[in-house]
Amino acid sequence: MSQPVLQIKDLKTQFFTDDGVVQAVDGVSFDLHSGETLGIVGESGCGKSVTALSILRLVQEPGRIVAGQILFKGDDLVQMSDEEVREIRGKDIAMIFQDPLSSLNPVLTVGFQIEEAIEAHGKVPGKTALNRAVALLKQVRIPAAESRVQDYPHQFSGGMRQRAMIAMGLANSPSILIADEPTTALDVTVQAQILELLRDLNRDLKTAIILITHNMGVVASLCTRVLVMYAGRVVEQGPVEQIFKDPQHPYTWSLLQSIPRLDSDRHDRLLSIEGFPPDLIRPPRGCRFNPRCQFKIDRCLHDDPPLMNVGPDQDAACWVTMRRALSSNGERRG
Amino acid sequence: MADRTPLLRAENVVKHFPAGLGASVKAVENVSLEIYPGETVGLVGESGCGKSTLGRLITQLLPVTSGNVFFDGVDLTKLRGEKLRQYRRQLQMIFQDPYSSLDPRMTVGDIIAEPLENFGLLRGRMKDQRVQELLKIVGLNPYFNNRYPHEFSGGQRQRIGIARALALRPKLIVADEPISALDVSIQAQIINLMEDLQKEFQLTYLFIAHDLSVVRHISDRVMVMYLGKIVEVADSVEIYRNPRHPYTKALLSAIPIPDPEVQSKRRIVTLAGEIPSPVNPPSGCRFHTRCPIAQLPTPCADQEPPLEAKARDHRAACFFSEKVPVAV
Amino acid sequence: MATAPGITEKFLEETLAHEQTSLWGDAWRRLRRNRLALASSVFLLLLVLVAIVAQFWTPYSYYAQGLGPIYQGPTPQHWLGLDQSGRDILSRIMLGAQISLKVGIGTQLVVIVVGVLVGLVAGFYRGFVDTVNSTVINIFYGIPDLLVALTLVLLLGRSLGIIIFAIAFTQWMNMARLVRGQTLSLREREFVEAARSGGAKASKIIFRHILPNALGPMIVQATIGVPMAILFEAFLSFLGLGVPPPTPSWGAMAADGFHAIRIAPHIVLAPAIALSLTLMAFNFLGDGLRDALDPRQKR
Repeated sequence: MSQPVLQIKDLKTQFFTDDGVVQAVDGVSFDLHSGETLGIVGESGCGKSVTALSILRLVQEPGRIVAGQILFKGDDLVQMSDEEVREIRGKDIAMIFQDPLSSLNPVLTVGFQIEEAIEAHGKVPGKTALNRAVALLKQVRIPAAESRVQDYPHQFSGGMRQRAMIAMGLANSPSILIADEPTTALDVTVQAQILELLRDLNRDLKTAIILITHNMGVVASLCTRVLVMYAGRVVEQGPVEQIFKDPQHPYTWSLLQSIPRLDSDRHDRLLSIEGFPPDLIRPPRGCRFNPRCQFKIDRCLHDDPPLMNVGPDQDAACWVTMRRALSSNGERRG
Repeated sequence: MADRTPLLRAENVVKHFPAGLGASVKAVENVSLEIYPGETVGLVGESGCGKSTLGRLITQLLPVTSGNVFFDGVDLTKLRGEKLRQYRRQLQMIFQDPYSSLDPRMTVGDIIAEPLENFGLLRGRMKDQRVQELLKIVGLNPYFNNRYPHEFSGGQRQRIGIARALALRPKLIVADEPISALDVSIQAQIINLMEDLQKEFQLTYLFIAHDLSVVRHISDRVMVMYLGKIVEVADSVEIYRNPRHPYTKALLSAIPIPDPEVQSKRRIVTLAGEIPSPVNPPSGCRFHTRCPIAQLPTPCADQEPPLEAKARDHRAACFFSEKVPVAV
Repeated sequence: MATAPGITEKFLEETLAHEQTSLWGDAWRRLRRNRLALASSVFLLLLVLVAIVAQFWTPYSYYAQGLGPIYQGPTPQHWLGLDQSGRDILSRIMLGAQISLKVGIGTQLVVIVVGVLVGLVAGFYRGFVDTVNSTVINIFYGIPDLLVALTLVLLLGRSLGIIIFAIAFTQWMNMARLVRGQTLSLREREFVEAARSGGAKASKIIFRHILPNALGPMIVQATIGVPMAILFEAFLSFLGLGVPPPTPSWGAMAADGFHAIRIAPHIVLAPAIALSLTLMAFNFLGDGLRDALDPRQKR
């Protein structure tokens, strides 16, 4: 395996609020290789979006990165000055968000905004920028790109706006594209189109993609590797096929059991994960998932498990693991 | 199922919203449906299809532009004021957003008790007892009745909304995207709860959602809507195995299955273009602009296909439904 | 919501939701941290205290003339000096506080009752009712405040009650507009729809659901309205149309002492400073309340 293009080492981001310190990202580590599609999946409050914002140093007050390293091609983004990070943002690492309606300026044409993105990293002669904008719109499969480039965001539909956002993101040929819930606000047929586009762009341009989502189906469609996050931590990671076929962390396993599948027999009762999302200010002692875990043992209440290798290229942060939990013939404690 | 009398019957319901300058949003166009006692009917579609509007027309939270809604044989569209209000006892709704469907200034107990107060059904201690009973039924601590909504998580708030809907012991509950705003792990809790409640209280549900996987799971029958019209009705197993409308088939193929092996083998039907605006819907079959098997200009662009039976208990609105299994 | 600050906000909202003790408790905490608002509240409490005390006791009688040489400046016996008729300024300032507060709070009470009712009805029923209401409101806006107040006072007499009514007459539209706006947006909220679905009648929806949720901005509006009313009254008094003498309104005191501003500035300064401090205090408090009640603040 070649040297990873992005290495996150023990990242910690916290929010200092009146109610206490929210440990949003608490020791997250992972690698991203060139051209890879990595999914970060988890529910609200698990820290996945904050992780993405941290990578691009976009975390705002009252939040800050308090520890860890973000190594992009060897350079630590955490240590860089604002100037240096601005160089990288939008050029080497680009980000697109969930709701393109609020990310796009309604009073500027789409073409202008793409040109802005291009020119933020170096002046180019006027015509060149426009041509590149049109080329980008074509690349994201917007029909009649030459005339569409003069249109305003409100003249685009939701799916097309998201494509325009992707075009902006790709304007400077970044090595990494971070997509934070890019299809959550879109209709499912449009979502399928966008996912197909991202897949093709990844294949053709070799841009690595970090896809943040709560939707396991989206992960299964697009990603090659996946990180499962819970309470600010990575609880499981590995190749997508393995994680879905053989999840080792009880949270991953329960999550997969609780989603209704289109191809399942509808009489199967869904597994539901009891309890509530964890308190990030005063997280539970021991394993953070233990209050909701059906398979916990004594150790889980006191010792916080680190990520441990549980299979070829698969890690999970669990003392028990599903392998052992399921083989003990339903002998569950806790 | 076809021999029983429907609990709810909508006949040629139309809803147009004025959109200024003489234009109107044709949100629901000539929809007819039946819901039988004890069943769960799923209503599914993407944005602009009119499903939420239809839900509100059925509960008469919105007045129809034309058409009739019969509940237990009585035409709700002909009722006004107090008479209509009385029918609300039997027709309740669960709303989508647990964060805005509960009044932040009222205690949870008051919120649940309000329907009971509205009809003067119970007072004082009896009312309090009923509220606590309802909290227990939906899986919440009965002593939480003095707390405020913001003290609860999204899933818990949705349970409160369900408790409120149950307070009057309604016959029909229209659930408008009841789980879309919830976390994935909580959605299963609420789905299971709704199924249990249905068994315990013999409820009938109209379950409106955009997520076909969820709708299939909980429903007996599924209705697919597109741009204000129902395009297909079938039971939930059949609609997946044998869709007879090209839109349904495309919709099914677009939904990602959380299984990478299965997912990689699926063939996705990509539809051309985007959903047209309901202000200016296409002529003839509203789906013809994106349909992979449309025959233009005739009949698809100038005639509206009727929603008719293509197989037993399976209706679709397409002139070429027999082509769907192969050509789509 | 899609940008970095939006995501941060949403994240904090999700994680901190059940940390909030109560909506008012949260607001109270935020208010406490605002030093200016806190200082203002203290000042205003003292003012109220002074006004209450003045009802039963002042160092000297407020209307007794000739207590000493006229125009005399501050002395140990008369901390604020004597005015042009030899009356003790301190005592008159104390009573003036009463007048100002009565006017300020009195007008707002009338404004609240009228404005809220009109606003609720206009916003809830919309259509014809709203059109009528809006027309009425706009007519009122069109009439110059001073003209109205002057006319009313001249016609109906110079009593405190009439003055309060006259000032409220010029201010109720602001409240009505505010409440109408609040009502218009609140009536679309899902919990109102849910209430209708549960069989609630219109009156219940208006008074149980909409009104309590509009309280925040209403309170802010009323708090900011107080200094406006007090200033208006002071102005009327300055023009000689306020409460009749010898009742000591701060405005009247300033007006009476104006001619002697060069030789005995304390006669004008005392009420002017009192007025300024009071106005500032109410405004700071109003601002503080507005920030505290703003649901978007997360710190």
